[in-house]
Amino acid sequence: MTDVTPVDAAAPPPADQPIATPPSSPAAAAVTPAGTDPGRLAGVTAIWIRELRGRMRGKRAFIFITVYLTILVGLFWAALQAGGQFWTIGALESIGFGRGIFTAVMFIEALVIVALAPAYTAGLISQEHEKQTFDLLSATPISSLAIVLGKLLAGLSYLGLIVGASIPIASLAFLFGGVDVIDLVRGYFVLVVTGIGVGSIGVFCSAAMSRTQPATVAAFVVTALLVLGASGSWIILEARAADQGTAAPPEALLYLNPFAAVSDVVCQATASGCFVAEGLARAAGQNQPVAAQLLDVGPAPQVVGIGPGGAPVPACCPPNGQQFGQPFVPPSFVGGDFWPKSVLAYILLTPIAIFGAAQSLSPTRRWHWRSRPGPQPISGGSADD
Amino acid sequence: MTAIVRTSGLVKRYPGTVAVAGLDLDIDEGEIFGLVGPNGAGKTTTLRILATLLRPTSGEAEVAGISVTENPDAVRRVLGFMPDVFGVYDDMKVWEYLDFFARCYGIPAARRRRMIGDLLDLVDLGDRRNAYVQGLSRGMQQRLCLAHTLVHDPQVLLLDEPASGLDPRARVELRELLRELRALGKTIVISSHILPELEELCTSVAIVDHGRVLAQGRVSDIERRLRAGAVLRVKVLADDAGLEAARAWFGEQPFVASASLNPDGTIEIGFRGDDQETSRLLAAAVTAGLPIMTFARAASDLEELFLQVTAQGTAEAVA
Repeated sequence: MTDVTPVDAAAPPPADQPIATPPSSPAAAAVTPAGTDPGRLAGVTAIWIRELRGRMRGKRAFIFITVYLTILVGLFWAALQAGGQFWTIGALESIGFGRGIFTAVMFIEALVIVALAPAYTAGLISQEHEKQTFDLLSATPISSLAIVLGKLLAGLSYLGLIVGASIPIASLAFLFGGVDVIDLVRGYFVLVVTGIGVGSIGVFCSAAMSRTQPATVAAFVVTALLVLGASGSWIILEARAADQGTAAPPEALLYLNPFAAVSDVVCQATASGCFVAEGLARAAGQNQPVAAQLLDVGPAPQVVGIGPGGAPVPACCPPNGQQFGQPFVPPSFVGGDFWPKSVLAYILLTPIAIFGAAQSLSPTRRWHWRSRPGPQPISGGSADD
Repeated sequence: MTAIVRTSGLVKRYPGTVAVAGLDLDIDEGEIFGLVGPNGAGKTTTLRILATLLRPTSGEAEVAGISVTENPDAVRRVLGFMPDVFGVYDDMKVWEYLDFFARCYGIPAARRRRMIGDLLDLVDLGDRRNAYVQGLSRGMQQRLCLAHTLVHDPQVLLLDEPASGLDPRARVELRELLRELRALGKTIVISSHILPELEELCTSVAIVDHGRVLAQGRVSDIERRLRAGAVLRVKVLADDAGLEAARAWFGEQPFVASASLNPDGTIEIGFRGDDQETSRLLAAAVTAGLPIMTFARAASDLEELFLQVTAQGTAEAVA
């Protein structure tokens, strides 16, 4: 090959003649590395920003959110039309409508999280392998934990945007009444914790597998097993226990089912949709199988006022054969006991999944029990010899 | 000179194969060091171990005096690695690409902005600052990837087949860029099986095959160790009979081990003498009336050395 560079004073030295290098010894460099120590979690921001830049650039993300919100608003409008003109409804219908909005948004958002969190997170790390960018990332001093957290944060940011976009629609419940602010806060708290938990399962699958397709399938399978499989097992075991008179299955089987947690939040807020609380209470009493109870859930109580002793007064169709105008007797099962356990289960699951993902990222990046030595030369003598 | 990259008895085994079989390397500061070897020789595995992407089965490897197995985090801060096959992030602009890696190294925002501009100028991508990475040509992506290895001003650059897939012009540009980096004090380790490319660029080479170093040092040193003498090529202005007569004359001279006629009409002489004897041989040929057109020591190229070394098979043969 021909060298096309003209020879001048600034030209590099000939190839076979070593140049004079800066008077920095390798040992000195080891103590004061050329790069800056980014800290164990400093790379989280770098990864997060890069992922968001990639994800939010272009029309795709905005089109998706627009379509999603249009569907939500459309559902709300259709429900409103089906229930009559909202400016003509009375206080009772208004409260019921407000609670209906709250309940619907909570369950829709739970479904959105279960459906989208694995999809958004299962490809985050495996795509680095597929796009052959993982080596570039691995050669940087970012820790594995920071990579996993940055990826998870990026995936959850977009999911959070989607879930957060539903808050104004859920807040319409306040316009109609029947739901308190704390109910909404509680509901979104459960959704956020669930989203982080399901997302961390997706990131774990993504780190454990180098291909996105198997990682996505695995993430959905694991999520389905945790959400549906465990709950289904609980129902089957409970039915068998009721038949055979044995002990009820452990309640923990239901902890990772976000629909159960959301149902409990809704139950606590509206005293309706309490099938989880009711099921658990009856399972504890061993009266009849929950599978049968689920078919036996009556209509939601509609409250029109406060009766004697501060008890809410239902307007129609009260459970347990009560009549209009009679003080509503709360059932023996009440909401609010179950969702904190569900939240706690996800809080425990999340760090386990994140740690597993960090450990699965690369064999050379695994955390070991032994402490790491400082950046000193390891072989005998100095690096200068 | 101090060794900034050192491996000792480096071994990497995979099930059913040994990629690196006791590799010993010493690379001095400021070198452009070529790892030469055929496909499967263990070059990429060695570089990936040095880049802390692979854990060796046994042996030691150090960069800037830091063990790659004991303290990989510190090693990552003193080296930049460019893999043989790499991808680019979609939907990223050129400056964002460098900004991302600079953030990874914890470089403050003010320094990042200045450094990104400097690096883009260095790799001649200043005018592509706001272009999308996936829209760059292969050569530009290669230069951008090289720029990303420099964001933290590392002492050592590990470049795995940096010129693969580049057109001749891009190769020349890359070569100039690497020389510029060497002038900035970087130690550059390049693996390649494109020998002419390394020959023009490298200050030292290691010839690797089957996971072992067969020969290491400057090309001229390896050549000296390999050969008892030199090869002289002489062009004589004569017809076939004259050429044959000239070949016979050279064959009878002192220190000449062999003299043969090449198809291109040159006479190739295996000569065991030193420079003075070479000069005397030329004087004698002219005195004898041979119409000499050219008389030169044949330049040995890396390719020739590589074939010779790998044919001998063991490092001991050249020690």
